[in-house]
Amino acid sequence: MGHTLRSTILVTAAACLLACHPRGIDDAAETDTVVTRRAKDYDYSRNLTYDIPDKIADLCDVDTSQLPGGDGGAAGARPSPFPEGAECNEITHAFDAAILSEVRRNFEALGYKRVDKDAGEKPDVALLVGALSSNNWVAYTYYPWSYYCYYYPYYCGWGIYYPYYPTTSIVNYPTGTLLMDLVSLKDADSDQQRTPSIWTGSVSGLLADSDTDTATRINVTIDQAFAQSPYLKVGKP
Amino acid sequence: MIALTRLAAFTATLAPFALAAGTAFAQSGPPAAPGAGPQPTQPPAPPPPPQAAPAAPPPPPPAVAEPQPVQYPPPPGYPPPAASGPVYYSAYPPGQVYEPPPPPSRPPRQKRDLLMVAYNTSVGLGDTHDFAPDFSFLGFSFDWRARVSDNFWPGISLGWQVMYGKDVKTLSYGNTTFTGTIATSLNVFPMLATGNYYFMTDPKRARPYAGLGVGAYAAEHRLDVGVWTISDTSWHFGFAPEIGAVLPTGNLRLVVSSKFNYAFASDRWDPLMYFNFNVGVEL
Repeated sequence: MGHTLRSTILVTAAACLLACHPRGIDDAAETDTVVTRRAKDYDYSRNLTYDIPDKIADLCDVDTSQLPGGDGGAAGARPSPFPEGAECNEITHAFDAAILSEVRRNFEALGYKRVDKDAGEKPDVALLVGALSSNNWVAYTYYPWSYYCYYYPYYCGWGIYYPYYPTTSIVNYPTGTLLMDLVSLKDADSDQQRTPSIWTGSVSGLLADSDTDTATRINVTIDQAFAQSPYLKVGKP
Repeated sequence: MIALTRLAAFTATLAPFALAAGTAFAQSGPPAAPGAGPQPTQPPAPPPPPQAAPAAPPPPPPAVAEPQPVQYPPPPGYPPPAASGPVYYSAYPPGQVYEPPPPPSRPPRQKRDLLMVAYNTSVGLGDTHDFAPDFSFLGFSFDWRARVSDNFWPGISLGWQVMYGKDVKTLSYGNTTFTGTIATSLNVFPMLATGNYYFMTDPKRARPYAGLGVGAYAAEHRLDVGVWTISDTSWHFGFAPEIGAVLPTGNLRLVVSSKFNYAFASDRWDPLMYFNFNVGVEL
């Protein structure tokens, strides 16, 4: 009797040890993170018009030696070369249309109007969207928007710089990251030939197999990035 | 000689009763005592005539040359009381049975030491609750206690408690805002020297006790966010008052107790504060 009871207690305890152990992050969707940064003391209410490229840049497919230098100080030093061991995956462009549509929808809900580039209108800001997928831990500063220059020299014939904060991001195995960078063309420094970034929204998460889940996660996280950045609203001081 | 003399006198006192018993007595009367009564093969002596009993001759006086023994009073129960019914054995009735004096009335001797193994649940308070808000069902403790007196049992206590929580949070720091699922867990390992006072000491009954532990707490703070994990282990000095009771149930002694743990702030970590609710066995 005594042994039976003791055994029962031990088995129960062992079962509870397994059943009750906290599992932490145990779903791909739970790895989704949204990080937004705003420029310090920047008056967002002055901007009204925007433009957005029709493609999502592959941020991994960049020769980092060609990146523009930093401004020092709060902007940090010149970006280090793309870290060794960073095994980039080739990103899928299957979601490009959905992503850009969701970004545009959110941005226009804030009151921005997209310019007609063909009509020669010049937007106040440009929203650049890039994606990256990596197999390894990667930490680097500055996203290489010069990649856009190949497609959109109009926006980045000048180097983009980050006068207000360093943009250090971390991605790791095997994640996908979507970066939205809002640059102010109105505040471009013509002497230095640089364009300030006034907002970044970074969406990261573990890559999953299910396309349905991926589309849902992308929409949810993009919405969250704008929801937690109400200061972007046009006309809001 | 003296014995024979006394036996004769004793026999004389029995004579009237033997007559009253009738022939049954006469036919089956056994010897009084081995060596003292008539031989088993000998027929019983015929009872003396009734009139002879009062006139039984006195015992002959002892020889003058022998020292005169002191006439002690007869011991209690001697001569034996006369039987009211038929007496088949004229043996000495059983005397008073010897009964040893009762032992001093104290409880059975307790063990020198004991081991308590307990399953622990807990709930955090204050900063600990903020970090890991869920009610924890994962914890164990081992208590060893040595007897100094029946009431006072100092010892040591080792434990392991996991507290945890998971939630989607939006945090802002400076110009940066973060949103994501944050899973936190807190592994606490108390290592305490304890003093325990048992208010009742009978091991066959419930034994409530109160104790206080003082010692070190190791705490591993772990934070999972996105695909990143941050963990940091801190050491704290703390104390833990406890109340409980040992309940005897069959072969096992169950222990139920509750303990309040407080560990002071250390380095950059806030104080630890949580309640334990324990069920265990005393071995």
